[in-house]
Formats: sequence, structure tokens, C-alpha cells
Amino acid sequence: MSNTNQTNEKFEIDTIKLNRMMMRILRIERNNILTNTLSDTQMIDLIRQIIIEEAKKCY
Amino acid sequence: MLLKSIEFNDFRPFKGKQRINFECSDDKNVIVILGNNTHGKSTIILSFLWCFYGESKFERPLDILNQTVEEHMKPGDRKTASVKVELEHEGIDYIISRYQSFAMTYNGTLSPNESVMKMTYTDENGETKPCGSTKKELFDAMNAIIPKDLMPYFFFEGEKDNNISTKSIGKAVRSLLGLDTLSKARTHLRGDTQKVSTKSVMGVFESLQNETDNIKASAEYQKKVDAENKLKLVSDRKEEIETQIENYEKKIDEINEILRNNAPTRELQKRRDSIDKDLKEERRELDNAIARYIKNFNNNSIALFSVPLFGKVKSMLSQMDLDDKSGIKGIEGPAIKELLRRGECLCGTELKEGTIAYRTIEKYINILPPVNISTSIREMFDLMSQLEKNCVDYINSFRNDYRDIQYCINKINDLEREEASLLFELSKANIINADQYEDDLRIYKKRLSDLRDEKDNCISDITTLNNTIDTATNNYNMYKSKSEKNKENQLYYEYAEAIYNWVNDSYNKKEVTLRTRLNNIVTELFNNIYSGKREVEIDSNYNIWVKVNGKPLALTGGLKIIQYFSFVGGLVKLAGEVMNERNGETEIYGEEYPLVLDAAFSHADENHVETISKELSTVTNQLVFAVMKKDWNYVEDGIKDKICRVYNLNKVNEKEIIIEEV
Repeated sequence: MSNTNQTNEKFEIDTIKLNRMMMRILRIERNNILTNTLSDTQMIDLIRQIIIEEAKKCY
Repeated sequence: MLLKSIEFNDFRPFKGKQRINFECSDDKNVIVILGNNTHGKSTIILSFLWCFYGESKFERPLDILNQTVEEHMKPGDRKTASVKVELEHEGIDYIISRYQSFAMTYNGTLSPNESVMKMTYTDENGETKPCGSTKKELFDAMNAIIPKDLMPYFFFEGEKDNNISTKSIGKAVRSLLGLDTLSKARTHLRGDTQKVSTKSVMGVFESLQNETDNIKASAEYQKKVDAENKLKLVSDRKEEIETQIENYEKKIDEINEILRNNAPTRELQKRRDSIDKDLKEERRELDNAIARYIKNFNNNSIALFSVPLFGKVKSMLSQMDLDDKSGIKGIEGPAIKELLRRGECLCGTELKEGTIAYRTIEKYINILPPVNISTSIREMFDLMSQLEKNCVDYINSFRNDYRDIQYCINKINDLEREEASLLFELSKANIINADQYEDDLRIYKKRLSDLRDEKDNCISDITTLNNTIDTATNNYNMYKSKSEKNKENQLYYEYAEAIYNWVNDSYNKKEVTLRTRLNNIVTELFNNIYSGKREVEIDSNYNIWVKVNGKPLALTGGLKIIQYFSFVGGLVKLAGEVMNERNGETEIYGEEYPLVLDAAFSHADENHVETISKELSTVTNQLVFAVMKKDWNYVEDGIKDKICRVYNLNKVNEKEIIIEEV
């Protein structure tokens, strides 16, 4: 994973935000594998929320 | 995953509550369960499978309830057999229990209910929470801790044919090594299909992007711009019209002012025109009167000049002897002769010579001219009388004609004098062409009316265009808002895709790395146990192959056992190693796993028993041996200093075994 910002045609991906998203997503994935509290649909919704929340955050 | 305990309750030979504690330390990691054949070693190993997955691989698989308990049941009694396992996985404590209740029927048979599983974990706050409620949820939760496909590897039953499965256990092994987290994340982010799954995170973000909203926003914007441009043109035109209307209104006012100011002169002009018309009429009348006068003179003036002579004529004729003889006026003698020649009178009477009628008519020849002139003289008198009368009439008509002529002349003179006076007045006034002004006024008023109509149309168009602009603006804002949302979703999609790419890349790299490491560990273990050198290969499905010169060997007996323990030992060792190598929160690989072995050495010779037990004690933090007392001596030599606890299975009778810690 590069530490520099990745830029595509339209959007700039913020690496800090991306890393935070990845950490949170993997943590909840691991946690759910262990506890199995959320269904796949709920997990997909939760991951979407994480991406939206982190993308909107200002650091 | 490390086992903490297993507890039986009226389960098969274990009557009442009986428990084995598996907790041990790093340096003493071996638990020993001693028991001879039929003392329940296999029951203990297989009870894990029953507890975790509900599978009964026991001899007499339906005999779950302890037989002694069953024998004491009366009709209508209910009893429950259960196994409860406590374990720790990823730092979380779990309790997995399976219960099966039985009812004694009135005909003396035991009626089993379906077994029920419960699985709970203790969260960071110390609260106990369920790992699911449905069978599938519980299965998934359990499978995440120890995959069902790998159960036989960790809970080894040596007296059975423990061939290493040839089916793919790749998924289970990947799960064991912690790759399932990445795999699950990959599935949730993108789906496992070739195309992005519509139900995945990326799929949902993709579906929320609607390109048509951008197109619609552009179209509405264009509508707005077009309407604004048109509005400008119409507004400009309206302003022009208003200016023109103003100008025409001014002109009309000016003309009206001119015409108002010119009204007296116009009256003079009108009077002059009227006089001119009257003059023409009077002159025509004068001409007619003169014509009548001349005509009358030509026709009737003879009487005027003759009458003065009639006195002398009458005097002379009156002196003549005029025998009237009753002549017929207007008829002369030749006319009588003609009647006689024809033989018929004018009245129709036949005139024949010698008849009275003939003679009566014949005598008029002598009293009519030319034989007699008295008739002519009488006619002369009549003529003169007539002329005298005509003379009087002529004088009267002559007088009238003359009067008419005079009247016309006087009238003409009066009109000409008045005209001369008007011309004099008009010569002093500022004469304008009022008719031209009137024409202009009509043209201007028509134009003004047209302009006002056009202005009304413009106002109507402006209202319509403003409505169009408002609607287009609202629509544009609506679609633009959606379009902005699209951009947001596109950004989220980009993030999801970036995460997926990283996860996928990490998964693929890690999977290859771990498989290579597993291959190396298994090879080392195999050769250590075997005391020789063999090629060992683990393929992409995690099947193990022992080869010589690149060709797979068909393994039998002891080599199969060595292969088996090498693979299982390698797997457990690698899982433990990668767990200890975790670095940071995203490192979620590996886990500690126990090895629970029943009669592991039944197919191994004495030398290999020692090496296998020694090697296995080094690869796992929890090694549970269920062995016969006769084998224990060989095992003990290799792992003596690592033994934590020893349990003895004491067979009370064929139906009851007691677990005792030694």
C-alpha cells in the first residue's frame, strides 16, 4: 500500500481514511467471524456505513 | 482455539456430571487421558464432534443418554444428556453446549428429541451473548472457530481409518490460518462472482450511481439556458414595443393636437368646399335655364311677333261674306271624291250612285275647299286665336326662364363673393393637409393596436418562459442534488474498490506465503518423525503428497500415520506461528489450536511413538493424548516434563465410566 494519495480520474483517495476504513472493516469482519452476530446483509450495510463515515471525516 | 474444559452430563457412559479440565501452561502443555479399550477414550474425542456439529459417530450412535439413567426412567419421565465445552478463541471465551432430551414412553421405549445446540461468548464487558439463534448461524460461528472439515485433524481417532481427505480442505485450512477474515471481507466488498455482485458493498454503491441523473440535470440546465435566452429576446422585444408604443402615442397625441389646433381653418376649408360645390351646381342650373330660354324663344317666339298683325287680318276677313255652309273642318273636296269612288263611307255605309247616301256625301264637294274657302278662313281665325293664346303662354314662360337665369346669376355672384371672402380668410391661416394627418392617424392607431397585441403576446410569453425557467431550475436542482449524491456514491465506490484490491492482493500473497510455509513445516516434521528424507508437497487444495523423485508414493501403515501427524502438526504449528507474528490491527492471521489424539499410536511402532509425541508436543500449546496404559510408557519418555494433567478412565461397569484426575 502506497503512502501517497492515489488519484483516479475524478476522485482523490485519502490514504489515511482508506487505512482507517480497512482496519475497521477487518476488525468487524474478524469479530463477526468469531461471534457471528451479524448476517451478510447486515455486514454489507455496516461496511458501507464505515466507508461513508470515514470518507466524510475531516482530519 | 484452546480447550478449557469438557463436561458430560448423563452422556453415554459418563453418568451424572463429569468434567475434564484442559487448562495448562506454556511449558506443560500435555493432557493425558488413560484408558484401555472400551473405557471411553473414543467417546471423549467424538463427543467434541457431537457437541460442536451434532454429528454422532459413536458405535450405537443413537445411544446418547446414559444407559443406567435410561433404565431408571419410568414412563413419562424426561431426562437430558448433554456435553458442554468451554474454550478460548482469539482471546474470547466461548461456551458450546449440546443437549438432547429423552422421554420414556408408556410402552417402555425411549423417545429422543432432536439435539439442541447453544453457543455463547463473553464480550469485553463480561456479558454473555449468543453467537446466533438459527442452526446455520450457530454452524457458521462454530465453523469459524474450528472448521468442520478439519475436525478429524485436530480430534484424531487412531482406531479409525484416518486417511487424509483427498477432498479440498483449502477453505477450511485458509479459515484456520486466519485468511477467512480477508475472504469474508472480499466477499462482502465485491462478491465472489466475476462481475461485481449487486448485493455487495461495491454493487450497492454502484447501483446508487445513476448516470441518467447527470444527463437529466444537463438537459434541464439546457432548457433553463434556452428559456433564459428566449426570455431575454422577448423582454428586449417587449421593451422595443413599449418604446414604439410610446412613440406612436406621442405621434398620435401630436396629430390630435395639430388637428385640434387646425379645426377653425378646417371649418373655413369645409365651407369653401361647400361653396365650390354649390357654385358648380348653380352654374349647371344657369346653363340649363339659358338653354330652356333659347329653346323657348326658338320654338314659341313666332306668336309674339305675329299677334300684333292679327288686328288688321281680322278686320279684313270680317269684311268678307263667309257662308259657312256647314263645311267639315280639315276635309277638302278631293277626299269626298275618293270616298265616293271607293263606294263606302267612313262610317261603313255603302255609297252607291243614285242612293241617298251617295247624294248626301256628293253635295259636300261643292261646300268644301277648293270649291268653297270659307272653311279655310274659319280655320285661319282659329289659328290666330290659338297664336294669341300661345303668345300669352310664351311671355309667361319667357318671364319665368328669365327669372330663373337671373336667380342663378345672382346666386352665383353671391357664392363667388363668399368664396372670395373665404379665400381671403384662408390665405391668412396656416393651412395644413389635415387629410394626410387623418390618414397618418389611422395608420398610427392601427400600428399601435398591433403593437399592443404583440406586447400582450410578449407578456404571455414572458410568463410562460419564467414558469419554464422556474420548473427547469427546480428540476435541475433536483437532478443536480441526485447527481451530487451520485458523485458521493462514486467516491465511496472508489474507496470500497481500493479496500477490495488491497484485501484481494493481501489474501493472494498471504495464501501463497502461508502454503509455502506450511509445506516447509510439514516436510520438516515428516522427515523428523520418519527419520529419513522424503519430498512432501502441499497442493493448492491443501492436500498432502509424499513423493520420491517427483512421483507420489502410495502410503500405507506407519507412513500414513506419519504423513497425517506431519500435516496436522504442521498446520497447528503454522497457525500458532502466524498468530504470534501478528503485527497491528489488520494482522488477523493464525490461531493456536489443540491436538486431541485418541489411540494415536495404534499403527505406529515403538520408535515412532516417541518421535511423534515429542514432535507434536512442540508444535501445539495443547496436546491431549487419550492412550492405553500400555502405550503410555513410550509416550511418557518423550514428553515427561511437559505433562500438565493426567486423567484415568475408570470403568465401573459396561454402562458407566468415571473420569478421575490422577
